[in-house]
Amino acid sequence: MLAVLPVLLGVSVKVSGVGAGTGTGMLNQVAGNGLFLVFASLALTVPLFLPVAVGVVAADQVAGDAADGTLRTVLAWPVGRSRLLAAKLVAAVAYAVAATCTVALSALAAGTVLFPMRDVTLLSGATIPLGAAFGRAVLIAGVVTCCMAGVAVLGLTISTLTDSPATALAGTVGLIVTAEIAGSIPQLTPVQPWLFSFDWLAFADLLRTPVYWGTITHSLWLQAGYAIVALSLAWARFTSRDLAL
Amino acid sequence: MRRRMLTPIVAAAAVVAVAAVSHGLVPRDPPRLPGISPLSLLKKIGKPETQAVSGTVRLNVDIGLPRLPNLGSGGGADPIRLLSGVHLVRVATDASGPAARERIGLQDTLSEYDLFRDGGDLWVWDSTHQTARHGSVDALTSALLSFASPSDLARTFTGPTALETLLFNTAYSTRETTRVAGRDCYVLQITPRSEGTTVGSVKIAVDAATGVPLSVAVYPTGSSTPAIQAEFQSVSFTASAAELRFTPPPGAKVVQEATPDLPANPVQGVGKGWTAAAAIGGVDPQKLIAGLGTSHGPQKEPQGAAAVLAALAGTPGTPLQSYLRMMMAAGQKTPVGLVWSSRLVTLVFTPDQRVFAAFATPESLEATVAAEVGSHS
Repeated sequence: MLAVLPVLLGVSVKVSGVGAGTGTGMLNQVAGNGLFLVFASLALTVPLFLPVAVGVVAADQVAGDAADGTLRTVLAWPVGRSRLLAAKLVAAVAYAVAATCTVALSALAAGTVLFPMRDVTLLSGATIPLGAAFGRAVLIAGVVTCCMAGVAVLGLTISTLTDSPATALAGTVGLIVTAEIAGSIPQLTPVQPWLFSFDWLAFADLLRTPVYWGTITHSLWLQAGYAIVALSLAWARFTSRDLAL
Repeated sequence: MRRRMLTPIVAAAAVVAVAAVSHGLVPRDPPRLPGISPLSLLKKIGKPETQAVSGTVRLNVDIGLPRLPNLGSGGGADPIRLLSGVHLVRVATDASGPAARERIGLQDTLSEYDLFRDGGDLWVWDSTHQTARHGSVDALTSALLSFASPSDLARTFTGPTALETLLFNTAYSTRETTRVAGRDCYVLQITPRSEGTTVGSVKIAVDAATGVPLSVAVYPTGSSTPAIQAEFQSVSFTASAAELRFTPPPGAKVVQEATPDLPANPVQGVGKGWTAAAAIGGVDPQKLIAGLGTSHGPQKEPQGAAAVLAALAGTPGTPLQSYLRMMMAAGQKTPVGLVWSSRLVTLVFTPDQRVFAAFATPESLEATVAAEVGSHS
């Protein structure tokens, strides 16, 4: 599904024949340059689709095992609970990396097949060679991956708090949707910079001349802060909870 | 169990503390700088020791307009959006060459609106519509973008013309110091001592080493939150030549604009002192709003959330157009024209298609406009 979306986007741009100048935003650049399909796909999926996909998988990590009884079996192994949690974390983050890469790579493949690849016009109006643009695309995928890893950590934490996968799932998706809604209410401007979803689109700053790092670093620190708190909570809960079901 | 649960609480407290300290929420000691008199500081601003400045400015405008909803599909960076909300603006200027060069770039989510000036040569770049316009920019756009540059904004209050008219009814103070973008700054506090103005005070942070204004905040009367605040987040006293040069990218639509058929100076000063108004001729608000976006290409019906908003607002057009129409509808009809006021700016749209703008109360501006219209008829 994650891989299909960019292809769908590319095909619809191709079929509808949106040319430069008629559409607005990034989408109208897709027709002129396949690499823009990568940027447009990420911009389209980052606000909701990608975090929900990552969150759903992460939320199932512990609660899922607890529900179908495998968690007790696993905990009977001579492996420390901290190590088990670390393994779950690696799995959730690996899925976040894989999900982002899937969107980016399938967009790249679709973009290469459907549209010409040429020098890239940045948002600031300057043009950079294709090679350098690839470098920026990799950086953008990296920044998006970090944001999605943050979502994975939050999902995993919620997963340790409950035994019901449905509750964990609803909690994680609810958290993402609530953060997104709070982020779009003008009256909440003072608290918005501290929402974990605030700077998910900051990666676009990598498409400017000169690159402005302020927002991106703020976004990465924010993810780190949320991750530290969430992980410590997950650890405290997971290592101390009573599983005599 | 109890003891374990302390870990996340400690972690949360530590993270909040680090965030608070790094974002200046905890007051830090202001820098110690040798004393300076207001007059010397004004002179320093007038003659900065560097010709080149570049950096990213955070512009926060809260003049009392409702904030524009941030709609992903509702349009990208547009100077009219500077009327409210928080924006990041890239500013680069270099006056060392034969012609002054300047770039002001409004950097909104996934889009950018740039103005490049090289002496008399001017390019406007709009990334949303992939359009480069050559030749001219309307007075409104130019004025809005100049708000974003602390140097330009400071000139409104400390430039030679401002000093001439303001010097005798203003209190100047230089007691405070502060840090902006990691630089030690003097703070010039300007307090009007005249009736009828909406400006409570203006604070300008001036880089102690170079004399370049790095932050300007305009406070309305009786308010401790600024109505306009432009502050460098990062600043460097160089400007790259490559950044200041603009060539239309391949594939972009290039519009060559004829020099506009305007009177020699479209902006006129009216009145004196703090309540002085700027008058711009040939402005028909309805036509201006209706024309938004039409010069870029075929106008499309709003879709999705934008359509819902437009329907809620009860007016056709894009959310931006609905928003501005609502703003106009909130105006008051008076003998001199339609008066629209906010906590900082008052506007009067006269029937002869002029718009008067001032940092003055509605009563004061109405009097100024009545005197101006009366003297001509």
